[in-house]
Amino acid sequence: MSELILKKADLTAFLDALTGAYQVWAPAEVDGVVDYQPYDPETLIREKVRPRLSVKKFFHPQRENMFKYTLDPASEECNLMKETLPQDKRVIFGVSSCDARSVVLNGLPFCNDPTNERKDVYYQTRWDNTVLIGWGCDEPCVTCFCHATGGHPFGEEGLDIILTDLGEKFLVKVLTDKGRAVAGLYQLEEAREEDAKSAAKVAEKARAAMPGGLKMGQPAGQDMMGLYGLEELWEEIGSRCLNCGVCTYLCPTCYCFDILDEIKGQEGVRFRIWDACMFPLYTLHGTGHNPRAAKSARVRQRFMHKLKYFPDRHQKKLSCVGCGRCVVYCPVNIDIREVASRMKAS
Amino acid sequence: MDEIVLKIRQTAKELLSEGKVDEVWGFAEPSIPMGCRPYVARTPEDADKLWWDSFCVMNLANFVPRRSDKKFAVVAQGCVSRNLVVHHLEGQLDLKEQVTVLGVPSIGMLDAEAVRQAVGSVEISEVSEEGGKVRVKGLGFDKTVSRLEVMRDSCKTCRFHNPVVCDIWIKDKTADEPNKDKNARVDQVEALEPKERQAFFEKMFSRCLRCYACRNACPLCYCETCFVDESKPQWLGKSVEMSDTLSFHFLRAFHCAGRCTDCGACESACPVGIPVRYLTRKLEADIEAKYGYQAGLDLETKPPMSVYLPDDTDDFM
Amino acid sequence: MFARRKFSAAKSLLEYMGLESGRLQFSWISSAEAEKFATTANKVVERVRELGPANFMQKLPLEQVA
Repeated sequence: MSELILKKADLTAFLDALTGAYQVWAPAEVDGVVDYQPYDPETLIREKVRPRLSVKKFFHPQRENMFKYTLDPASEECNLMKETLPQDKRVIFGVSSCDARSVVLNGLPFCNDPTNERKDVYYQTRWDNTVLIGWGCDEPCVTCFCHATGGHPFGEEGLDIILTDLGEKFLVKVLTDKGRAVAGLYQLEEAREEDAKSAAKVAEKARAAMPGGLKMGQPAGQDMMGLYGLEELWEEIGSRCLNCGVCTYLCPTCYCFDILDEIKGQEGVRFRIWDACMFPLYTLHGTGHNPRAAKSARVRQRFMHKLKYFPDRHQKKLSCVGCGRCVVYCPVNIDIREVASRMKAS
Repeated sequence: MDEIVLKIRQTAKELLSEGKVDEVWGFAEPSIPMGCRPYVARTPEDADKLWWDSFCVMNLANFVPRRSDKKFAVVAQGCVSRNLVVHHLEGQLDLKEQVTVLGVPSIGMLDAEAVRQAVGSVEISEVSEEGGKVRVKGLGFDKTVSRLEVMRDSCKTCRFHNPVVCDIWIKDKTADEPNKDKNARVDQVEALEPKERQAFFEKMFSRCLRCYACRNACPLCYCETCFVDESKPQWLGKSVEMSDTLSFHFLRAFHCAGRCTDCGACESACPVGIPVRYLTRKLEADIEAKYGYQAGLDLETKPPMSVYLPDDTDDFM
Repeated sequence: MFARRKFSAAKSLLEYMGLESGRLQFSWISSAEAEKFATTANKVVERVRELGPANFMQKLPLEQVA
């Protein structure tokens, strides 16, 4: 597809042009925390950043209403579940390649599961309605390891447009039809051949700057019981794991949820919320039995899911994009890079 | 190598090889700058992995065995020792028989979130300390800030830097500040009208993810099943809806009334930098004013919520 | 008597978080004091009417949350 040029001085004019047709979101700082916020030219961060939360919330929100219903016996629609589908069209600006890749990976269980042809209509609708404008990472963040999980700092998977920072301007590479529709809303000049060449160099340099020697890979080929047998590893991590949801909730590729009902008067909604395998309630049976009663069993599940079960089911892909958020924010420094190496080394 | 680290290792090694304790609870070297990695050493060889720096901010009283027969040693600053006292008073362990406290008088621990704010970036690759200064290097910057600027708020307002119970001193005692004013945050809120207070807390908690890191990092939160996790009946809505989020934080704080040592682990654990101690501080200020009690200072005084006096205040009527 | 300390702390914290004074009320009433109960209940209702609807820790309409 096409390659265009956007002058940095025109960045807000470009984003302004999108606000009529789309809700635009971009990284901004609120109370010291950088996150995707409704776009505001005043607070827009004009450099490449890693927002505290990933783009997961746009595709799989922390709370998503699924159905609404009435319990009013006088109503003809009493007890009928009515689907509530999100309609907003959104552009998310400044997305890292790792985050974009997570949308595709989460899309596997939600919409593209090999044994289930049904699609999760909520995830799919949000995916169809969302345009991701990426910003390639010319310098790796300090805990990044996308390259070790099958990604690239300038990876295009999941993005609709990717920007490369060329100093005074961006090279705008349009990757999909959704991206073309967005790029068409603003007059962008065609890129020259040397722009494309310098962009390729930036990407190459960024890839070379990624830390070497990391043994992420997947422990595929090793059987599950063998990995379960790494008792020393699970015990050591389990002894300090708080069993909080920090890693899970900041992770772009943790997608587990719980479905609940809330009723007020005669009106009710059924909604889903993020859930985490770290929480005891996650596996608590109706009988009161909990198959993962120990902390170490719950923390083991998280790594087994990301590095073993998910790849086994989905084309050997890890359920990790190497964004490094869990590494930075885990209150007790459980480092997935280290866990993966130890699982692999076994 | 830092002298404190060497002394911790040496002491732990002796205790473990002489069989005086089964476990030594401390920290190991983290994999990232400003990381905090609680660690339990069970053999004299394990002791060589023990570590100490200004970012060892999790409260080890939260990790040690409770209601067990084990004998163990714990690396403890003032607040951690006070939480061990609280555990003792609540029957979770026997401080005299079971626990060897390795005291590390605190000069104030540092706050990773404050460091990120001070340098304006989360991409920090190296942090080092020298003579009251903290040097922070990261993507495109190399800045030096004063220790005080990036000290945890709970440490800035701390009165008891020295362990209140100690068996082996890892370093020399420092001066305590028993009369220090701790109420800046409470005064700030109390200067507001009710509507403004509500807005203040709603804004603060609007980015809460309900990850429960604050609860799980707290040594006081050891209930077998937290009220949040009850499903029959479900006491609290589980989504990130403001009334549910505020109810959670209200109740979490309330359960700590008369028990909180203001160690600040809750705040340090929060992945989105919410100053959750605004709530627990208020309770502790009230308890001190009404009953003259500060948690975990001695092994004799009964905790204020488990006793009463005929002339207790009726101020809520 | 234990409850007295707990009520005192709970009310204080709720008002610190923004609950208007007078919204939460306590009284000591014995099971034999029917009249005191009725008078107090009426007084509470009156006071809450004056204050109008609370918006403290109030659930949002279900559909607004998403």
